[in-house]
Amino acid sequence: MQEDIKHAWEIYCERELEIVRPILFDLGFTLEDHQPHLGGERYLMQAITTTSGKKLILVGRGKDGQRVIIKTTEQTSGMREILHERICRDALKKMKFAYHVFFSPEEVLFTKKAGRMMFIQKFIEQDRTFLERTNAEQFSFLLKAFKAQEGARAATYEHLRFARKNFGSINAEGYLRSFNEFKNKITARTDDENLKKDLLRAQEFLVRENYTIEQYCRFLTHVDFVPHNIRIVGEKIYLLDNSALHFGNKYEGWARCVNFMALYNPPIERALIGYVRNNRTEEETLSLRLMRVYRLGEIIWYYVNTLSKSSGNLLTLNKARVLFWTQMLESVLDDKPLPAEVLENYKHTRDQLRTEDEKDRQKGLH
Amino acid sequence: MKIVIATPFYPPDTEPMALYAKKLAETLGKKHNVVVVAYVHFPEKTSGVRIFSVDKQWPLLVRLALYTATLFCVTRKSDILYAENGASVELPAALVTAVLSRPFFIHSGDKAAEARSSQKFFLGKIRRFAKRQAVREISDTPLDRPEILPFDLPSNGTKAEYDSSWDKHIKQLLENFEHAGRH
Repeated sequence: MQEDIKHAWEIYCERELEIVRPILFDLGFTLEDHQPHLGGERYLMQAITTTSGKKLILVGRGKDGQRVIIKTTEQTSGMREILHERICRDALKKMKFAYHVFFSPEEVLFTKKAGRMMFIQKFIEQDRTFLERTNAEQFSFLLKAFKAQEGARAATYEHLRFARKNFGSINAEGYLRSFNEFKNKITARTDDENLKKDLLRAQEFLVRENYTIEQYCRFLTHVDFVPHNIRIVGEKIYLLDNSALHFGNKYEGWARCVNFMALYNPPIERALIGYVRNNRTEEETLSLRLMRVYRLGEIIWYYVNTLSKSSGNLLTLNKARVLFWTQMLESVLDDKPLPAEVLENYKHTRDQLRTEDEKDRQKGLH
Repeated sequence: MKIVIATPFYPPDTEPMALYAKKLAETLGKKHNVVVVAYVHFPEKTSGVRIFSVDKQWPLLVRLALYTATLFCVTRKSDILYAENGASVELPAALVTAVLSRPFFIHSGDKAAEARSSQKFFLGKIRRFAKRQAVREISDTPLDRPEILPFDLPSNGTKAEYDSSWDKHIKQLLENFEHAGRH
């Protein structure tokens, strides 16, 4: 199964590259030999995130030698995502609060050729990755970014209309509905009684505290605010994926970032949680925990969904991922830190089982 | 003393005025009977304080009418009306004061709202009307709460400076309230 999906992705990439390369050449762009966003586990990500359709993310150069990122797709859903991203970019520019904080890579070209949408933006060079910065720097940039997002609240009817039209919005009812879907899909595909029990506990927690979820809704939040979606140049924060902006619970973006940091840089995870605990109300600390639970339900579903499409080492790795994020869910529900040995064991397993291709894709990503 | 705080913002709003209104209600609420009337969806709980909320999702005229009616009901049973500046609060507060003749104070903490009322004719009219009804305009605003930051990052001020600015502010307000109450 895994080999079939991988093979289909490789054929798709090859065919698309053959079509797209000459079109891009005519437009004044050449593709680099090494395309990091096509390799590794990318094929699996494409197979799972069906809502956004298949889309190639390519690295190329313009006539002036300037590096560019090219997003191209011939699928309707992929085109819809690119269009949504452009709408969000424009809407963000109209919001005064974010003007001095968030920047988007300059758009070089947006066109449709041979039935394919092509969205080309300047590549943002950075002197080091986000995780290579000091903890103090990482924390400061994240806090600045979260505060800028929180500065935008769709308080009035007019604001909410603008928010819904451009970014989309979700309220407590929407979060509960989505979590219920994650839970039902996971339950249908797993025999792990422990995981089922945890999901039920998580759902009860979210339902019980749904007032607090709603209380902090109507804020702008980037739901995938993690290092590979941002680049730092001087004091500027470049958002690489504007389509992940919507109006929802203000701690949804925090939660995604805290869950990510729990794996990649635990001192930042602790610092972000500590900041909310020390400087904000008890309700806000609770809201962060609720959103972490919600996002953990989503990531567990993501990896459970990969199991039927994986085999060999990748299947073992994805099972380890499901177990790791389930243990994380338990620790958040218990409001206790994840034991250090759980994290170390998982990282060891992951590093043993990742393919060389995937290790290469991960280089410089975060 | 029974004090009504009328404000356009209240947490979970993140505007400085929202944080100010909550801290003020909390502090005064320890010794006085405090009621807050705010344009807010689901306000954060504040110990010792009753909060009446009017959702901003209503169309403008409806929310203004609801806010005015709510403010009228709670001010009728109170000694002091203390309102944040901004037309959406100044107009209801001034109307209520005109009918009930309660001591009314405006706090000019929102500089952006003040700038808007000096630029726009109609907002300026509301501001002048509210000022005429008010006993006094209070312009002093205490310091923002210093943040506790990790990794030895510098904070915005010290806790001692923050506490002292609030002590001074509350003392000044209570003196004004008591003086107005006597007259």
